[in-house]
Amino acid sequence: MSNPDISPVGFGGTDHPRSTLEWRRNVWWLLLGATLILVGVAGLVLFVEKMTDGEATVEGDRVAQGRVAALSGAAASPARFVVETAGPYTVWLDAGDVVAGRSRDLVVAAAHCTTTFADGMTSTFRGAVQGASVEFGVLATIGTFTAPPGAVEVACRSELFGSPVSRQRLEIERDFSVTNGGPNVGGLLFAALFVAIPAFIFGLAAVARGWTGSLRRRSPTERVG
Amino acid sequence: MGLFKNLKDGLVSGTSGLSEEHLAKLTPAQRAAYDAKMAQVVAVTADAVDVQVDLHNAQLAELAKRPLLGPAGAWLYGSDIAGISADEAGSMTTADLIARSNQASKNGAKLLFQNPLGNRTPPAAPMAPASDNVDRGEQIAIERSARDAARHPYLADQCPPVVFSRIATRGRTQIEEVTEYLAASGLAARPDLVYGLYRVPDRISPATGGSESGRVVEWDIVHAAPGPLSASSTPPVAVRFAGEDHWVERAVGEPSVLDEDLGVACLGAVGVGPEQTLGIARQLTIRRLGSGDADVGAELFGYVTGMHVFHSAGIGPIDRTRRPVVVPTGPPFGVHIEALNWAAIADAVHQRRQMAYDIPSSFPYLPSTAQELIRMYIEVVGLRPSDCYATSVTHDEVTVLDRKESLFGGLATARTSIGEALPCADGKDRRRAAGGSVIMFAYRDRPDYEVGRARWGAYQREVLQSQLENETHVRRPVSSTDFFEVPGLRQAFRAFEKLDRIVRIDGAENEARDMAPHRYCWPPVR
Repeated sequence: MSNPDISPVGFGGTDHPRSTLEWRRNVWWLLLGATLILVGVAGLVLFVEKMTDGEATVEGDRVAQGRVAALSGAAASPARFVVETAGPYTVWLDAGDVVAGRSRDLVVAAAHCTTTFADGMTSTFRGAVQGASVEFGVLATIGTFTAPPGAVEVACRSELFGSPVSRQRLEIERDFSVTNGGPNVGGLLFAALFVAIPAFIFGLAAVARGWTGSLRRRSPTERVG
Repeated sequence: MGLFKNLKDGLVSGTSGLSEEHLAKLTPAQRAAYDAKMAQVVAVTADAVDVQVDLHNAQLAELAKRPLLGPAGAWLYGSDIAGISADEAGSMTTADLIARSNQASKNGAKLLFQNPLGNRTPPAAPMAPASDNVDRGEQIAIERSARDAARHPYLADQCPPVVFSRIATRGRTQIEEVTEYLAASGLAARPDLVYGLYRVPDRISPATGGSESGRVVEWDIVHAAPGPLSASSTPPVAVRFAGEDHWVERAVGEPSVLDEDLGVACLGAVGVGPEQTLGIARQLTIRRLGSGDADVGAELFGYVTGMHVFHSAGIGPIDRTRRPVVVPTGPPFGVHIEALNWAAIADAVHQRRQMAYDIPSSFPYLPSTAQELIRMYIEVVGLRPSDCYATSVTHDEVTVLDRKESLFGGLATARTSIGEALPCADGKDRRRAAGGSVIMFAYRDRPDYEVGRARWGAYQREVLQSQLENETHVRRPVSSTDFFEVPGLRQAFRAFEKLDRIVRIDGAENEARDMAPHRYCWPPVR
């Protein structure tokens, strides 16, 4: 010690041989902390894995594939499939040629799809009015529809959206896929993330608390002197 | 024109006017004009001298308030005493006045040229070793032995030893750990051997800056035990007094209450003397809080929220004393309370408080640490631990521990509390921001202590070249609460405060900001 007046005696309240107190690590805090850290890590891993593996999930659920016609091009090949049980379907645009961000948002918003069902009824939806587009890698949702049993045809094309400057981006044909079910898996993933991060932080704090421990009265047999 | 040219020449050359030969040649009209002008010159000179004398006296009054005189005082506060003393004024001519004014202007211009950024570098260390081979420990010992030798003629005839036992604790359980150490070391059974105890006012690991509950917090127990004592089976009692509790009635303008004042009064109320008291320790919190200034950001604050009175078991309870407690506006009867300005010395000898203190010291006649100053006072006054209620280095006001660091040769400054790792009481090196602004003693007075304090006065004057009782800001007058004078407004304000506390999240920040301006006596009575 650089101060010649001071006589350091360490943790005198607990390390003194005649002290009746000691620091003892708290196993319950350590266990709680470890559990929370595990939950946090598991949540983070799940989120990262699902986000990176999302395209494979979409591929697995795909029921049909088609092409989005270019803005001033001829009609492209539609997606055709047969529905056995009525239910929701999601249309995904493959926007791999466009950098994620505003450009991709524009391409998605400009996509316009028409579904024709076996009974002759049709429905339309656009990427611009779906609320939020769910993205997995290069895939982004254009919208969802509910199909009755029977044959279904989905035809899509790019329509003018945004400023004329962006027109060039819409003059390209792109693939689209139709998958069974809604795209709401993303919401669940984000919920997992919101749980995982606080769990991880609180877990670290709990481990620190458990490692520091708490003051306990030493049993008479443990005392010296 | 010739007349006034001669007059000007006469003034500048230091004469009092024209020679007798010149005067004899003047016509009566010229002589009358000459006399009138000379009378004007005398009047203007007298006014100028008066202004200079007033300035001089004001500076002397300021000098009398300085905690440090001598080289350290000159460096910290400036050495030039402007103006003219009354003695000098008696013999001063107009020419002297002009010459003095010119010299002052020249000196100012020279200083500005030499140090345009106003950088304040300490003077060369007078005891600096000739070679770089002397290590820090050796240099500390050399300077220390010189100070000890200078103090020797002033020491009291009889003085028990002074030992500082420094223990490490965790912030959350610091009081339990201190009482446990007092019991285990045997000091709890011998309060007559304890001068006092205090939380070391340093923040260890200042970079984190948050709560200290899991951090290392050190305590010093100042005692006179010559060696190991038998362990005590019962730990002492530590009674907490919260600063926001209203214990004492004070009116606006009256001196506020010191922690030591109240502690001694409550001990006295149940008949407990200093021989049964281990210490009155202020409850000090040091943490980083928003300063309220967006440009500065969070700063490291030290602030007192109350006190703990440590005494032998089986006495009291001292905190059940009927309120309001009658505490005199000065020290309690028969008790002497001394406050010494440690901050002023630290500014001179430990300028970078996040680093180790300066060695070699630019002012080696001053103590390097607060503990050395405590030792000096005890040894010179001749204090006996059985008479001591409190001995501590602590804070009185809310204090910022961050220090200004000069960057790029003084072109910029930055505030920091991050420095080198220094040894702690548990043997580990950790960064620390040193605090402490005032040293407090509270002891039962005796006639031989009065003699001792006279010795201390001489020692301060002649060796330390200081007046450390100055500028401590203790017992500040209770401030006004005009805001509350409107009927019903006090209740409305309290209700708003409660709501505000619920809405805000950071409890510690609230604690510092909402702290009463004076402890134990807020709000004032009418």
